[in-house]
Amino acid sequence: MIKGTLYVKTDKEWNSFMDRLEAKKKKRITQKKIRFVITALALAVAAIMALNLKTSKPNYLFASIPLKNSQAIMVEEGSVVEISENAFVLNTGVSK
Amino acid sequence: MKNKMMILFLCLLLPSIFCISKGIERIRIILQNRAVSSVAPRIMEELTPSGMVSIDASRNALSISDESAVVDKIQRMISELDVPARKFAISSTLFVYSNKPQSVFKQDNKLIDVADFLNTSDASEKYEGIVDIKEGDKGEIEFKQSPYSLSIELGGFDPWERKIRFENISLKKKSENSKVTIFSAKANLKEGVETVISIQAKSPHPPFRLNLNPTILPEIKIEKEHP
Repeated sequence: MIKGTLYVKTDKEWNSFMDRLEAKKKKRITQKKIRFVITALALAVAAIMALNLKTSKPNYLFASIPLKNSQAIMVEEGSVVEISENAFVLNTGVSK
Repeated sequence: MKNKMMILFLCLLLPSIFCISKGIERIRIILQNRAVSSVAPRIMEELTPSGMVSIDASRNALSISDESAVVDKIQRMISELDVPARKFAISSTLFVYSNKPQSVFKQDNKLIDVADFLNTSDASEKYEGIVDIKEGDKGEIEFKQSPYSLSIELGGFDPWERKIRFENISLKKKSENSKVTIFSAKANLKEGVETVISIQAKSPHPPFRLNLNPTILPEIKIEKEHP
């Protein structure tokens, strides 16, 4: 025959046990919330960076400035003759 | 060990003393409006033999080191160059010499012949046109009641030399289905000055004279009126 006494928790013990359980639950929920916030922030940062990468290169005007001593006129075919300041003759082919 | 440290110290000190004694200054400028590669060649023309320009294309920045007077001048230049695209009115007059004997454009003595020709002969046809184009843009002058048109692509403007770059000037003639290019050229023309370009006859085209006058247009700011 087995003899023994059934251990029954007192109210005080039971309450402290429940409190610890509740604290653990709260901690788990807080950790989940923190993980969620960190993930959301990481995604937001990644999205902002991706958008910035797309728009980070502004379109600057490319318009080459003439050099000081550059030739006034250059023709694709033939030659240029200057007859006076700002008057030029283009020899674009053989005249007939 | 001490000797090595001394040599290292001198290596660092001597170039600094050299730079200070020559008044070498170094600046870095980030351009806001213009591509650095379009401005740098003109800036390099202002440098002394001891000067140097380096380009950071990814940040659109210029690093300049030269004598302080030159650096100050370049800074002033950049402040005038690094502006939004300026607008120009390109006015043009086209003279067509279709009824003129083309022998005046003989290869020998061409200078005398053409100068005489420009001074004495009258054109059989004359057309006028104007177009407003911004730096770096393209435009076209359609000469009214004529088969001719002038295509223009503008480059940049040098405010000190008052020269405007024409990346392309093409005189075209409309034929049945397409346009035939009579001549095509690149040019650096004076702003506010009329440039005369005489184009030799090339069969089947007659000789032409093209007068081009690029004029800078003032920037007009429209302010909203308060009710």
